[in-house]
Amino acid sequence: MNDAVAPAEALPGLAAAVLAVAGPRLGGAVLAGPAGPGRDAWVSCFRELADVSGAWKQVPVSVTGERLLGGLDLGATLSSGRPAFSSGLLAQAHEGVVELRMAERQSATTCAAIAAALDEKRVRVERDGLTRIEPARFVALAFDEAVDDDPPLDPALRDRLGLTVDTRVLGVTPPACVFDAMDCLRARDAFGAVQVGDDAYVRVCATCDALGIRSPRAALQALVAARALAALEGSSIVSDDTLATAAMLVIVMRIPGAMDALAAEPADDAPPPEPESEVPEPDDAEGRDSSSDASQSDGPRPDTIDAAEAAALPANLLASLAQLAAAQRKRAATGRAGARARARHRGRPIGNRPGLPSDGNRLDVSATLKAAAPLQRLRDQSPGARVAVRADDLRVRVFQQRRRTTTIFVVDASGSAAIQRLAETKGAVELLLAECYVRRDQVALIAFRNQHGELLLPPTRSLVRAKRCLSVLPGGGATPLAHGLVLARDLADSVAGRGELPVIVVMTDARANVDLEGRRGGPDAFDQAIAVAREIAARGYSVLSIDTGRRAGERARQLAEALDASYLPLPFADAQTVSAAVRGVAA
Amino acid sequence: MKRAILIAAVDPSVGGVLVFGDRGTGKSTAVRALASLLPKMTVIDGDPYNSDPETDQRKRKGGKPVKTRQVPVPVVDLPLGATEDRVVGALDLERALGHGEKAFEPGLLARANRGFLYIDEVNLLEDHLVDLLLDVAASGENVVEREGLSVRHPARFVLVGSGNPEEGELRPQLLDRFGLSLDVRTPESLDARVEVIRRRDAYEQDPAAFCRRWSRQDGRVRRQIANARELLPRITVPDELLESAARLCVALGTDGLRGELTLIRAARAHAALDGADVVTVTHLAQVAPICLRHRLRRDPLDDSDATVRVTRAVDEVLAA
Repeated sequence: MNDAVAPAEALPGLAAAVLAVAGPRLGGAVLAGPAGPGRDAWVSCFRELADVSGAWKQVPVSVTGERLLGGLDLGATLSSGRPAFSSGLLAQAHEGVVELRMAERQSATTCAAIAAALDEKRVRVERDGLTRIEPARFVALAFDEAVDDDPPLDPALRDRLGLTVDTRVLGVTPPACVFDAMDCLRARDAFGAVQVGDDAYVRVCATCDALGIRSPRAALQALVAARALAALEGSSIVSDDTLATAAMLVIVMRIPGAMDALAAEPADDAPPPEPESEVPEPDDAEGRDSSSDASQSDGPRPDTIDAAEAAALPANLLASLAQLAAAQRKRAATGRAGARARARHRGRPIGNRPGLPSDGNRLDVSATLKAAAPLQRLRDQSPGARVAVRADDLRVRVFQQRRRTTTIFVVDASGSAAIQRLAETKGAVELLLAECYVRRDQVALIAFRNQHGELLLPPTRSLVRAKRCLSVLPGGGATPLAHGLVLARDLADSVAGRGELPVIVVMTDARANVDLEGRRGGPDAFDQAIAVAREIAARGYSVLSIDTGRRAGERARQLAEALDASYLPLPFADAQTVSAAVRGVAA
Repeated sequence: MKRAILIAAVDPSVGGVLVFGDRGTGKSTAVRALASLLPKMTVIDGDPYNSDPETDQRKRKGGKPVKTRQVPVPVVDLPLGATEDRVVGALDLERALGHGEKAFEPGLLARANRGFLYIDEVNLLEDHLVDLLLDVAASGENVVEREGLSVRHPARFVLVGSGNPEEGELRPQLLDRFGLSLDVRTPESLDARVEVIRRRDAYEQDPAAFCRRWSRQDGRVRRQIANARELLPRITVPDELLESAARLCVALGTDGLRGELTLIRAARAHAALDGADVVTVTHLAQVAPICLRHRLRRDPLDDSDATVRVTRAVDEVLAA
């Protein structure tokens, strides 16, 4: 029997054992950390403990919906002349394990399909004229290799995987685990009989609460993990310490960086203090008096429970983790929307539809064959003849239905142009943002002043962020026009590289006085800007140049010419005109 | 959320229900549970479209009574990755190969006729499928022209969509097509959450016992729906209430008349669920947020919560 909350080093080993016992009830585990021996060691440890009966399947990033879920089996259909179905990876992994490589890069669709299979323990397929429901009870191992700024693992999938293991701390040797395969086997049988004390519900919820984890799934998974642990320990009731360990495995480890915090903990305050309760006797199952002060077992629960007191974890540990969690949330709240939106709008094939390959439509060969395959016998074939394909069968690839437009605003925030004009410029940009929202465009914001330009907002569909960025934009200083244009050019290149359409809106009076080296008053400042402008024009991007000078200036006109842009002097343009002009350019 | 789904169950003409919300709040579970809560309906035996014998053409023409059957109301779950042919229906491959005849194999839309079509993760649905669903939902009829087949069949269903706003916004056209929209949040109070966890855990430990324990509650809800449906045609809507509804929509600047229609229908269904004969201002005020919150004139730069805006307008307009 475990005496206290397990130390941090023991967690990975325990996680493997718990997952081996609870299996699909816990959904699976997120293995956070780069590919490496530590991760492999954990997986082999789990493999040994779990004694998985089903197949062990790997889902690559490039997986198609068809491979994942199943669909028409082309080869078998052609040879037999009857529609034949081939199972997808998820169904093949029934009673087995699904490994998700580079899970954080998996598309939202893939993750949603896996999440649905985890929920229902089966796969429902409605594809290629076939309807199938196949059992798919599996453990999912998501290899999350995200570092720093990478978009995180799909939150819907993350939520369904009970355990998190930080594989960065693991060595080459399999993680130490006090349980062996035999223990796991016994525990699987004992699992169903394990009782959970009444206050355990309050405690897991309070722990989630204190750490700001809102999804009820985490609390449920912690209870499952606690039952598995108790079964491993040969106990028929979940003790407070077991619950605390389970809460560590499921709830605490969800917070990125929790492992570092835990590892640092013993250094400044030696052993993690005991939870406020003693180990209860294992045999008084019902109505036992919890020695924890806040919660009584059976009676009506007090309305206000001090979350920290009721929580499964020691209070001081909880407090330090809560801080960490809050910091993480703050970071997660900024920037994800843009990254996610970007990932979803890359110009990749999204399926196929019936149609003739013309007007730049590309023939989807396998889909066409698939459409033709079941009908071969009908089409009165002489033996040995080739595959008969009719016009009805032809399928063309569907790429993104509409090319997404990304409007890049290049705003001059320097003293010369901006001081009195900046407010008007901002007003125009806000109006354009609203336009972009209606058209579901992405926007990006580049501003330049003093020494150089700056990408304030990478392409995003979050208008709220764009607005926030804009409102805090300061004005004043010199005019590094050339550098602003360089940034715009590079960004437009990367946007175009993703198969999207960049539209650049330059708002400046073109009184450039800082050159690319950041020297103020350099004689080349304006010429360099013109040179960059020509480069942009050469790439054929749509550009709108808005002259924000107090009077329409010659330089701004020259710049517009170099950019091959529509030119619009702001003195005569109100925000509505500007917006109409952008619409004209983007169309 | 429960109220919104019940309203749609009582009066399908309110249009679909869109459920957005936090993860793990039981969005999918609630919709999938619906089938067992609805009173059974009568269909023509063996009819793939669940046709109602009362209104079906064939019965009137032939004069011969058709065999009918009681079935649960279909709640069809549109799986992720479903292809277009299975949604609308396509050539029946087995029949085509076995007998060499062209036969139409109805798709999910046919199965959902007179019932519910549930789309989880509605924001992940491919654009062309969304267009197709919108088209059918609007016309109540599914027209198939493919592979040499030309079929039209009724497809009246309540579209129920769920999703998570973090995973992408929904196109405005689709948004407007849903009659009711709501936002599900994780309960704030610890007690409520503990109760959720407790029940769910009880279910997982012993599903059968759990269902027995709640079966009486289920029966009560079923009777409530059945009664409300009967009551619905008899409920009167006072003129001044129509006026309030119109004023509310004007105050909020909702586009089109769909908002007002939905508002009245939902208020009526809501009253029916309460067993009232007359729709009152209270009913109207209670359903206003779910009817209107997704129809507000979109001001992308106003990030205040839509529900709050509607509630504010309700207070102002209905107090006047």
